[in-house]
Amino acid sequence: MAASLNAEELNALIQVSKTVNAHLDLDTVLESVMSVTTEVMQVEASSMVLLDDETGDLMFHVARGQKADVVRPIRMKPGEGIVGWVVESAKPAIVNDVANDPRFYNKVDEESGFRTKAILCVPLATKNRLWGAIEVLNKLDGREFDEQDLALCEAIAAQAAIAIENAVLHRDMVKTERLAAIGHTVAGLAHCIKNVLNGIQGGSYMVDVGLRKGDQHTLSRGWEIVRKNSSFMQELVLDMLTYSKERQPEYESADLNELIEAVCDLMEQKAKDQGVTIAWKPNPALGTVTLDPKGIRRCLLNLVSNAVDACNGVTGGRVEVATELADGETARIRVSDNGCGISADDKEKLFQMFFSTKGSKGTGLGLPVTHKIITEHGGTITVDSEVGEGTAFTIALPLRNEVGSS
Amino acid sequence: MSEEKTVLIVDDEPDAIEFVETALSELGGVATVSATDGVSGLQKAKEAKPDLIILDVQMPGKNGFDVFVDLKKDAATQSIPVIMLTGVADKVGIRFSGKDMGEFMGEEPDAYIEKPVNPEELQKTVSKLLGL
Repeated sequence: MAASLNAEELNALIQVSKTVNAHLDLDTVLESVMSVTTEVMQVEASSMVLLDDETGDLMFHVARGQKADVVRPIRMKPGEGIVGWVVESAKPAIVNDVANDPRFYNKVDEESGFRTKAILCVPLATKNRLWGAIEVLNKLDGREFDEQDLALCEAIAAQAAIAIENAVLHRDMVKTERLAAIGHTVAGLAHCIKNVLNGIQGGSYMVDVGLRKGDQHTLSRGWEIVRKNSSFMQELVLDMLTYSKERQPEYESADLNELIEAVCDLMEQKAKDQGVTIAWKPNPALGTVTLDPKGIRRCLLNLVSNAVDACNGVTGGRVEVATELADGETARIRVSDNGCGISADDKEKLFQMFFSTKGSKGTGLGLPVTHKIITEHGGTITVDSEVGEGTAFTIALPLRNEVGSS
Repeated sequence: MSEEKTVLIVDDEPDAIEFVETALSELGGVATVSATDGVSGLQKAKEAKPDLIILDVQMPGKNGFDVFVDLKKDAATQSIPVIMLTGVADKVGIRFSGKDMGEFMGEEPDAYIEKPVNPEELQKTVSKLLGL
């Protein structure tokens, strides 16, 4: 038997299909589907019942009609009622005189005060899974449900089931991805902390030996190692906190050139120790700017420190830090070096948490934190690099003129 | 007076090298040389012909496993005993440079010591392998 749908019913089906494909949130889609269903089938009430995964109970997910609010919180046990029968047998049911059908569960009517006379119920199923059922009650014109009604209802149910399946699959995928990301973070953290602890243990041992033997050199070397690892721990915690919180920059009016110059001065000794020169090229057109000085300072420390490290082993290693004012609206900061450069592969992973090319010396958080701070300022950071030639990081910050002026 | 023994320490962390040197200094009769990466580690092994090599697994570039395989391939270095210093991650089967622990051309390091290195355990193992 093939019942054909009339024009009005086809239109309803098209509307349902459009809603399902509009990628709205699932509840909106399902509510819309049931509204269309109720209207086009001209019934007193309708509902969509979904299977609870864990208990197997049937829950009224959507209900339409006068007693909808009373119906919604009701749960039915598996197999209960005509809808329970439909879900268990995965077959549709047309019952035009419910009073004489032993499957009918009248508790819902008792609680809601609604008087069910006729039910048409179809399963909600996709190829692999049964999600629940759609039922419509009491045609408004009092007529019986027929094959045509069944055909329409089944077509609508097929669409709704697809929407449900898509939503569930998507939610599971997001959850899996999120768990994987958390796992990766925990592993990265643990690795970092382990290295720090190893360092502290090693240093402490050296302090003990030095004290025992009266060996001043071993004692002070050991202590230096303990101290270094302690401050690394502090940096790590600070980076983790910065990275994990949604923050608004604490805007202040500051002289950008002065801020950067202070960073270069701070890095001077480290650079000298590694045989690297730092050239500072400020553009005087850049004056007072509105930014979060602590945050931007962190970023510059990270970039300049990385640049100096990149020049490790390079004769005539040189780091250049320059500022410029672009289009009168953007402050640009460029940190470049003539060091080892970054491969195309590494460039992709550059801003990932715990990605480091420095072995256990880096936290692997410097660049992700820098990227986050810049983004919070509404700015951008880009990188240009050639392996064996050098690297340049460019930060672009929008100038804000609420506080102070250039 | 017995001949002084030489131990080569290969570890990318200078602090870790200092720690091992301190532990070995308690033994007496042991001199140390060191390298901070796999390539120069191999070089030093060939040049200095140490009596024992202490090799860190987790190093950027050529890691400890890679160095071990090369040591065993070279006639000049293959009979030198090797102690591998491993981190926890190595033991849970995480592939490191494509090699699982124990898969080295049928050869195995003479000892594995897990970081953080216990100084006494290191001293005992080194003494044993050097015949002190």
